[in-house]
Amino acid sequence: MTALLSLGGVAIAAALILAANPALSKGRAGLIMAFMALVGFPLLVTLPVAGRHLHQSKSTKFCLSCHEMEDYGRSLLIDDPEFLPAVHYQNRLIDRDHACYTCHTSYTMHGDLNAKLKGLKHVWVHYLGESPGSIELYEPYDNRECLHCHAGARSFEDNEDHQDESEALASGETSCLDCHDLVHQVDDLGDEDFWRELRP
Amino acid sequence: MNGSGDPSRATHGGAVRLFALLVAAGLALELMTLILLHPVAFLSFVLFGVLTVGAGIWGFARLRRH
Repeated sequence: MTALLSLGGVAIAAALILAANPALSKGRAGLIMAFMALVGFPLLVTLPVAGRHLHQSKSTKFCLSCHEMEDYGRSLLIDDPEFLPAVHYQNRLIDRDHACYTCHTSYTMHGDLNAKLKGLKHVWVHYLGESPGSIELYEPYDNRECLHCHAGARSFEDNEDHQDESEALASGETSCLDCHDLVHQVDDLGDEDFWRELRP
Repeated sequence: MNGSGDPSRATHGGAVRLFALLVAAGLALELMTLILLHPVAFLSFVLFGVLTVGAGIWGFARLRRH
C-alpha cells in the first residue's frame, strides 16, 4: 500500500512537472519523459490499484457493506446446522473472509471476470439505481460450485444418497439444493436463533 | 503565446498541459479510492482509471503528432 502510494506520488509529480513546463517534451529525451508522465506511470499505478480493488471486492466485508446484503450476512450465523451457508461459514468449511465469493463465483475460466462485472453492476444499481425488492440468482445454482470442493471428499462419497445420485449430480439433472434446500432464507430470519452477532 | 512564438506551438503546449493536469488529477483520485477501498470507491476507480489512462494515451498521441 505504502509503495503504491509512493509510486502514485511520483507519477503525479511527473505529470505536474510536464504540466508546468510542456516544453520539456521536446526532443527524444523529452518524448520519453512525456511518455512516462502521460502513459507509463499512469499504467504503473492504475494496474496494481485495480488489483487491490479486485482483491478487496472478494471480501465478505465488501459484499456485506451494502445494506441489501445485511440479511444474507446474518443468515451465515443461523444456529442450525441444516442451513447450508451457515454450517459452511461457522465451521470454517470456507474462508470466512471470502465467504460470499467462495460459493457465488463460478469455478470456470471467466468466473472471476464475470463475478466482477456483475459486482460492478450491483454497485452501480446500489448507488445510482433502484435495488429490486427480492434478490435472486442470475441462473439456478450450479452443482459445479459444490462439487468443486465436495467431489472426492470421503464424507461426500460415502453417503449412499450421493452414490445413488452421482451421475445425476454430476450432470446437473439433480440439484444439490433439491435436498439441501435450507440456504439463506432471509425472509424467515426473524424466527431463527443465531450463533452470535455478525461482526464483519 | 507571448507574442514571440508560433501560435500552433503555443496551443500545442496548452493541450499538453491540459492532458498532464488531467492525468495528475485522475491519479490523485485513483489513490484516494485506494485509501477508501469501499464499494463506491471501486466504482469510482473504474471511472477514474479509464479516464486517467485514456487522457494520458490521448495526450501522448497528440504530442507525437506535433
